Amino acid sequence: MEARPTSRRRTPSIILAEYKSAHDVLHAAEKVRDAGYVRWDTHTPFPVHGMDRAMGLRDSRLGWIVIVFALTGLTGAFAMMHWMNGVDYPTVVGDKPPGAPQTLPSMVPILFELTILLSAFGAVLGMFHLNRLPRHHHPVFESDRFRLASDDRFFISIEADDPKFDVDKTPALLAGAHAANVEVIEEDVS
Amino acid sequence: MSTKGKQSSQAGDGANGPNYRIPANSPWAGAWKIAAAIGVVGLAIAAYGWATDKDRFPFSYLFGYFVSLSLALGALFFVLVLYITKASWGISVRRVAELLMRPIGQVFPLLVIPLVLTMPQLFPWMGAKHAVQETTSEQRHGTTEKKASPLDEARGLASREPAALRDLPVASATRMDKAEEAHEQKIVDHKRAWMNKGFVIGRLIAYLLIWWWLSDRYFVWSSEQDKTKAFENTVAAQRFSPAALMLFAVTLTFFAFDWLLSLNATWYSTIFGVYIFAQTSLFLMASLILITLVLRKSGLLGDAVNVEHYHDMGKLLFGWIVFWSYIAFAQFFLIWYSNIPEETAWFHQRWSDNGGTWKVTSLALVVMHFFVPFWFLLSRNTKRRLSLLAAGAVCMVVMHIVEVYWVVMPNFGPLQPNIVDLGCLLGVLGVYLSAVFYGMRDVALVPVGDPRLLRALDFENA
Repeated sequence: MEARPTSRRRTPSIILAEYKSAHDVLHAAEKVRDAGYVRWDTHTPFPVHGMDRAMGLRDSRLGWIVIVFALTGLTGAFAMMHWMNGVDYPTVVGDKPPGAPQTLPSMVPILFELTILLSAFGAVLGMFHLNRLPRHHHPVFESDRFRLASDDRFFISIEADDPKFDVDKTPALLAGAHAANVEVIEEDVS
Repeated sequence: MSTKGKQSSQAGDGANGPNYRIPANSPWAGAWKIAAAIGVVGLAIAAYGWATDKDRFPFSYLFGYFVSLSLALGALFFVLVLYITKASWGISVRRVAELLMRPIGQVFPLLVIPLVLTMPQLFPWMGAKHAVQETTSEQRHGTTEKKASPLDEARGLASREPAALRDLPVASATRMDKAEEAHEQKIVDHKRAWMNKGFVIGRLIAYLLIWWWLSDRYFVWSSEQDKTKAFENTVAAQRFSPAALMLFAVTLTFFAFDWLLSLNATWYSTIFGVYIFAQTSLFLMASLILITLVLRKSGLLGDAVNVEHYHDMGKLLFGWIVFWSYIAFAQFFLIWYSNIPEETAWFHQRWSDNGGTWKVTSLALVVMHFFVPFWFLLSRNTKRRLSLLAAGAVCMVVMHIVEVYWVVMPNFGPLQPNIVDLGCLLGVLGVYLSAVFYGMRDVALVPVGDPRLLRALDFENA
């Protein structure tokens, strides 16, 4: 195997600040929000009440994605059944004229099921999309300390492509908010 | 959130926070008198109805009685569910529900007496009505010179007769008619072991005693805790809740079978109990939203019930709307689909029979009990904006009352709203709410002794 070049250029990709309590991380999040950062996140072992507001998060857009999928399911199911039983191959069931409004009750189970099915797809796929999943790796996993995020520590991560990111000022901001530890994670430049 | 601000100073003068009690000078302290006055006027109209129209009164009264009963039973169910799920968000609204279920044992056994006395007019299986039908069936075929009674005409019995049958010689038609009657008689006779006066009244007493017992137990557990703050009460209430819920489910189901389903003795619907239960829970949730909103506006609940709680109650209201629609449609769908005359009879009464007068009501239930509130309450913003949520809740309260009317009255005849119906509704509801308001005066409106109350106060939707 060919040896890798030794003099690689490394550049900061993310800053990880560690806090010891939910209280500390909540107030740190407020500071980061007020400083105007946009590409950042918090990592806590359990849901911290008030974090949405502290981070300045807007309501999730997932609901809009779901309703688009749901209405697609509803209209799709209706179009499918009406076309199959009322237009393409008219079928008389229970003395109801094909394609007439009286056939509507018999369609309800399928209308309902396809609406639900596509809503569920919309919710799962929309969640993946909004969370930018799937991805194989994230720079925070470079840090050994980050494992504690699922145990007893609280983290804030700010990504280097944030327009406000500054290699000196950003760590100072986090440290100023009573961080127990701040580390800059670097990445190879390819 | 603007509602997070401290505005609870009116709620009490205690040094360590509000005590959530109704002060003596509050209009709420005298609300029971107003409700009682409305109740007395309503019952007077009902008594007039009983004296003047013996056929109609039992149905009107059953309608009024069940509207009030469904509110009380819905409250009992909500309290039981909060305990069985160990939910903490709802603790701050639990007391209002407890107050709604509190007078079950005092009010409903008394108010049921007129129903017990008029059972022969109410239930076809008790004989009185069957005799009427026999004479009218003769009249229909013109074997006697008497004209069909206007009530029978209006009920649409004549028009239901197949046209082919009318052209047959009278003798055969009578034979057909007799065969049909014998068939119906057989169905009713088959149910005789369950549906006879003694057993139905015995069961009614059992239901009322069970409801009284459950509501009293849960109210005492919770109100004692206000002073003792004993966690044992919560544990005991939680431990008893599965048994209590089973008792509730069985009693509500069979009450629905006995008093609402058997109005049409030849009709079957196994889902009917669940259908009535769905209405009951929906009605409670809508009423609870409105009552807590009014109490909050009077400054009696302070911050204990805030937007987060209304958001959750709105979600439950929405959920019950969907549940109701699912159950109601399931009942309709299976009957519509198989199209067997003895099963469709119930829906015929509410559609083409009775002169078609119930058609609009039936459609209104589909539109205003499902479509409009479903789309209206779907959004998170509607549930968090209290005036919009209140509008949705008002719609559901009105539609529940319409629905009970629609379940009960077509068994009597065509849609002809009558002052007696309104009198029965206001009479029973007034007396019941008067008892509820009276019970509000001696306890806090929030379970202040519940050890988990703080969790409810801090509750937040993510």
